[in-house]
Amino acid sequence: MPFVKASVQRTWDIAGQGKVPGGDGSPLGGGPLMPTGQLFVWLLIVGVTMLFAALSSAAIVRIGIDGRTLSLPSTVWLNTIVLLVSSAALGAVQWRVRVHRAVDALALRLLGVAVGLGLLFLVGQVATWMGLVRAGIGLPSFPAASFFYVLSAAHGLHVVGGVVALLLLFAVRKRALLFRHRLGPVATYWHFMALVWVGLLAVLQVR
Amino acid sequence: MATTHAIETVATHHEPKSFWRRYIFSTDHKIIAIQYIITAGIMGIIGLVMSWLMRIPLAWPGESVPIAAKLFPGLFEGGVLRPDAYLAMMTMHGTLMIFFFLTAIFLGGFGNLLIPLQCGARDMAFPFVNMLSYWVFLLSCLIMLASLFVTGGAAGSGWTAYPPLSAVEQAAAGSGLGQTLWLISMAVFIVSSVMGGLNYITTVLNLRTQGLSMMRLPLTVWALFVAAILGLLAFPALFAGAVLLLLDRHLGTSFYLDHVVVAGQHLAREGGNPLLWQHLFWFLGHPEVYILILPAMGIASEIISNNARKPIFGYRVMIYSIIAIGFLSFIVWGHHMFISGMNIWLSAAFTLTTLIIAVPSAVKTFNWLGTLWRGRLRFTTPMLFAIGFVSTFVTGGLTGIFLGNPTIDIQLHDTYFVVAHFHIVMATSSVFGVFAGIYHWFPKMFGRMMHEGLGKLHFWLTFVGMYAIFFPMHYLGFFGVPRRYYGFNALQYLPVDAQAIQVFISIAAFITGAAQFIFLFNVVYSLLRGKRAEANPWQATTLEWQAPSPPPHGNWGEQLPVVYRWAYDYSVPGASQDFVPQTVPLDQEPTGERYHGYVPAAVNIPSATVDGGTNGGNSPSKADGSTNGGAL
Repeated sequence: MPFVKASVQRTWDIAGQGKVPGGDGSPLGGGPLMPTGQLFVWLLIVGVTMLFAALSSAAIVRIGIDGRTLSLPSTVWLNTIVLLVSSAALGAVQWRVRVHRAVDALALRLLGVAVGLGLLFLVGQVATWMGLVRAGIGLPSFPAASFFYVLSAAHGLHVVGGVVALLLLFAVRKRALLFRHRLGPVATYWHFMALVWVGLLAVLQVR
Repeated sequence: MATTHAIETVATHHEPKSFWRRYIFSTDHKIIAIQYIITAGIMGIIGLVMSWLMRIPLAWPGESVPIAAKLFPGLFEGGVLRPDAYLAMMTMHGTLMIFFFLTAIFLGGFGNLLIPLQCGARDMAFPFVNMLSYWVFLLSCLIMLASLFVTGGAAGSGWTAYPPLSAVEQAAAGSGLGQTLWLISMAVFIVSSVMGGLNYITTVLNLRTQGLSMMRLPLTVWALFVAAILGLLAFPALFAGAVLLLLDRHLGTSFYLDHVVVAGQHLAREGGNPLLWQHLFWFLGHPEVYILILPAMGIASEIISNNARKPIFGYRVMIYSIIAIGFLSFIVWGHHMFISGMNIWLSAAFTLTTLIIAVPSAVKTFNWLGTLWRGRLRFTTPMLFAIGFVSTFVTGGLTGIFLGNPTIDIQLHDTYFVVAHFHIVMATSSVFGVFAGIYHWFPKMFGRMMHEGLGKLHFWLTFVGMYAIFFPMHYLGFFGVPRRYYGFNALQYLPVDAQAIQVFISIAAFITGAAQFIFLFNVVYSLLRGKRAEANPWQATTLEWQAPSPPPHGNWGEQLPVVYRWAYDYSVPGASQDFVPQTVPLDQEPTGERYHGYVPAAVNIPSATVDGGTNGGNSPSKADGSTNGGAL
């Protein structure tokens, strides 16, 4: 739909290209705190953090009272490594674009690696669930299992959003300025996804 | 008086030409605001009718009411409202009013209307996300309304949806599909709220026009800004709780359930705890009431200052109070759970925080009275509603201090005293904020004035009516009349007078509810026949009044406005008029900004030194040597 495209485009134009004057220069006195897209993502991260904080606090209380813990399958740890490497690959893209101030072939290849590993993580999570179900551990089995499914599903859905955002970066690979403006917020979100997964694993180890 | 100055040519905004893009799938914040206000208003009217239906059996238990039965045949049996329909109406009334009317109209309606205009922006930071937020909100409304028509009826577990009633499908008629749709609708609503909140916060932080420091923002924007932050922090907790509740209901988990027996059948659940839901719910639930009252406070501040022709008293303290209320609202939720079982020391902590939150609230009240004191008051309709807001906020707020104390709360919990407290603050104060805002900004939205005579009639009927409805409920609470009960025949301890009070309340509710149709008529009449509004009919200082009524697409023409002063330069000594818009340079008119409105009589200060520099704003130009003295 053309109007959707136009609206999104205008959003990013406002966000990235400094066409809207901000105020009188200081953070409290006016003027953008940071690029608008980046600010949006940080605020989004605040909201997502609250969601996982609510789920995690419920998990800590419920699992703690129940006393049973879930022995996490080895695929979970492999997946974790995959996600961390994906995050590192995106960090390399950021470094490459910052140093060379261009979106070159290597940067795009690294971006492809980040996306591919993100997808692999999602496939791995589904494989982990299937393995657990085969082992007789379903969603209602006991609280630690229930929360593993809930937390990993909630995280997985957010990762899907991140993968879509990464794929959209490919769509603007020939528009270097726009690519660079979008890369920062998307990368912030993607690194956060890796970080939050490590945090969730820690929650699931509560005894 | 010069009002706008060139600073920078902004990104070109092409005004959409087609009807669909201008008025339906619009990304213009003003159209989205109107969409929110209309949709929320419809939800509010539905909620109002539900309250009428609830009041029938409470006043006249067991009596047949053929008219109502004819209008709503699915809810009545033998001319009498069915008990399960009563519970559904009670649940849906609370849900619609709190989330789909008040939250939506304040954040979605006034947030969209006022934040870009009062910040001097052309639109929200993310117009497409803004549009999406409205359509997702509409989807949540439709899901919630659809639950009224499913087998078993709408949810019946109250707007708080406490398990196990909300977690076990077989528990009651409304615990089936209606409850599932309630949860799904709330989850969708939260997604919409978060999208909106991200936009509001980003816009305030990043899109303020030149010269508009945070300490020059109108209090409406401050209030909406903090309310949006509260929503962003609190709503995800309810989303998490709703997901877990859906899993308990449909996929056999035991987050909230423990050995439940329904109709002799033991459900295979163990170890869950319904208190977990209460904590997750009230972690949202209490900030939520401040999400509903803070914008009303901001609106009242703006209107009282404008109509008293005085700067708001204690501008900075008002901001600090808004922030303090926002912070404290996150650490008081336990006062809703005194009766649920709580460590006595924890309840003492929640009591303390609850009492402390009364301090910034009282500071704000003091400042509103300080603004009114010796002002040249104009009793316009928005002013009447703003003063009515202050009155009911004090009345309802005082009983909140009672209920914050466990020794009293345990006695009054789940009685009509709580209903009285809650409704005087939410259903009256907040709603008065809504009305004040609509009467005040209607000219800006539609370019026409609302009819003052009808507005005043609406105010007085509503003001007297609201007190008539909710004040007697305190007495019912003292009698021990429990809330949410369909009938009281079995409660032998209740005095006969209790039923007489119920009749009085119901009659008052019908009359007061009917008075709201005066407002609806006024809206339609004013849209069609209302006097054409000039750009600044209230002689106000803030930026939106420097744009045409209604503002064009992009709000400001070619050039964005530049701000030179705070938002409350009313009756500045030495000024040519009793208001000085924010866009007037300091070399043209003096300002009382440094003194936040109060300029001591003994001081005679060149306006070049009162340019607001200490307030975080570096004015684009310095003033000349004109003087500014005298007491305001």
